[in-house]
Amino acid sequence: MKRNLLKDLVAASYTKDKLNEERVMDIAAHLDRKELKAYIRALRLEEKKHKIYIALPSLSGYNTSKKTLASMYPDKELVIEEDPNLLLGVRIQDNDMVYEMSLQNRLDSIIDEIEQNYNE
Amino acid sequence: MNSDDILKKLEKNLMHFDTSAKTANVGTVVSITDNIVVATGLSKALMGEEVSFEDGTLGLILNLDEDSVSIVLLGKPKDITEGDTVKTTGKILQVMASEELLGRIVNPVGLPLDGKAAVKKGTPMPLERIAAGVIDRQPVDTALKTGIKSIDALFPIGRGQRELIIGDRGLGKTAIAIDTIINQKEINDRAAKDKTGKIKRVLCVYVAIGQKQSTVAQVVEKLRETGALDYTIIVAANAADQVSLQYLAPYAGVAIAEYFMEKGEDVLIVYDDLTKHAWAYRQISLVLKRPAGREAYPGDIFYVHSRLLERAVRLNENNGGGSITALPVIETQADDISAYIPTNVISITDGQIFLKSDLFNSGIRPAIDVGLSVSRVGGAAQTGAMKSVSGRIKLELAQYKELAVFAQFGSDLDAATLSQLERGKRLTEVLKQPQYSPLSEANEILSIWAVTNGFADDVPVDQILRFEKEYHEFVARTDKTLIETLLSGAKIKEETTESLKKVTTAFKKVFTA
Repeated sequence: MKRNLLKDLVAASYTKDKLNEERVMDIAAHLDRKELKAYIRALRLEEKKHKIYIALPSLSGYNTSKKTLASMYPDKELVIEEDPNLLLGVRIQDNDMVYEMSLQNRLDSIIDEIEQNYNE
Repeated sequence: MNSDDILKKLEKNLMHFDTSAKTANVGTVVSITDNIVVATGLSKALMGEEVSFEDGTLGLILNLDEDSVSIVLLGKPKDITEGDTVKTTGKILQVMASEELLGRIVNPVGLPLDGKAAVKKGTPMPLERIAAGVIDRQPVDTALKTGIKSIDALFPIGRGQRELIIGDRGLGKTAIAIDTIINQKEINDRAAKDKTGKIKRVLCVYVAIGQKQSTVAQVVEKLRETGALDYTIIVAANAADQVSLQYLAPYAGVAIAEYFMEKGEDVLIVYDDLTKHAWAYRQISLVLKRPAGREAYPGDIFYVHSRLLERAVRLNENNGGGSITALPVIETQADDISAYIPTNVISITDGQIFLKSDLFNSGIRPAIDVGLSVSRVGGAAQTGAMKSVSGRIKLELAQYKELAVFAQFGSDLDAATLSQLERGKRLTEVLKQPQYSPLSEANEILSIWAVTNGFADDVPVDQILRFEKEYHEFVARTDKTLIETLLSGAKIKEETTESLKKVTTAFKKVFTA
């Protein structure tokens, strides 16, 4: 399937920035296996652009920061995940950019620094 | 180091420790075939940027498409599957270079292959780098001695030159390169003793590309045995290694060489061999679905080699005066130097040493074809002493070759022709040299001078090498001043010629054929 056609199909799958199930099913019914695979991949990528993935060590404190996060990304849907490995802080993924502001990341950086400089 | 120093060092390091939030550009693995990963995302990735996978494997971005990137893996993938995350590192590929690398065997990403600890401290040197510009350079003016008579006399190599070694397999291409590395030991020893600073040592980098591990092990052993490993670094990407590593090996080698060059050192780098390097790049390009050109090589194969060999340079004094001399090796098929890769590299380099199979089979070793070999810039670097004796050889050899062909048709030859033929035979014989026995410049001059001046005319051809060996020993024993004069490189004056005549006549009296 040509790249431009795929782009048009993905664009046609959305109404008001929301995935339209009816349209998606309609398009999928007209595609062969290979085309369908490319279509699903393209939809996944597009979905990533519409969502912000936020990982927090615990969801208990989420309500206090919900407003701030929502105001930072007004056009996007927030997807909250719990990741206790972060220990403290937050990890935000906006499409293919990841912003690491967690204790886990800091500790990893310290470990890397030590491994690189104190190998003896 | 006492406890205060340790704490101070830690505090100093703490000052440089970056505690800011980290940003990363991520992507998702779409497919993995033949060690090439296609990933979506990574919209901020740069061409040639290093990326890391979830399992710790590193990769290098080689293609940037509209909505995907192609990544070549730099190690054996442990566990990369479709859907995995890949992250940019913000770094272009680099290798850690330091003095600690001398005597070590590493792979193109700097990991040790000799069982010792990894070299983690040092200066990170980028694998890809623009070569020094015209303003930063100076002409080649210092000789790089190979210790091989025929090369030093006929096709001299200068520090900063690129001299190609080309020939079929098994003709001694690697042997010439290894002999050259071994020969630097004598020069380095003299440089260490020299208080005037006129003699500069030469460090060596041997890059093994796509070779058998046993071959590399033999080279390492030979270098260790001769004491040459102390000033040599071996960068190896063997036949069983990832093709990406084979492609990167020469760039890693030259990056390490540049580290030393920037410190004002003279470095010799051997690329053994660029044919296999071209194969590796062809393989990567075909898997990346880049358009194939002549012999299925990609369109930029010339640039791949030219940008590598342009990094061989002689810097001017303002830039430290260091140099990188490159000896690339190319393997031909059936002596055909008009194939694609050989012609490319011939046109890039400053000359070539062409080894021919029929010469090798007729016992002439090193099997250098005098007619097809050339050194375009090395002449300026040849010492005055060597110039004085080598000027006549090429002409005499060319005349001998012509006469030898002519003499095949008849037996009635005049005395002058016969004597020229006999001299030619002895000249050819004296240019033979066994492997791993490079000669000092003084001994090279002695051999060539004696033969070109007719002192070996009455020595049977099959005794020439014995004559040469005993002659060197005799002069070393009886006239050390002459050796010193010849080693100084100064042009041979009348009094030196007299000393040469005197000592050679004295030797002839004691030499029995």
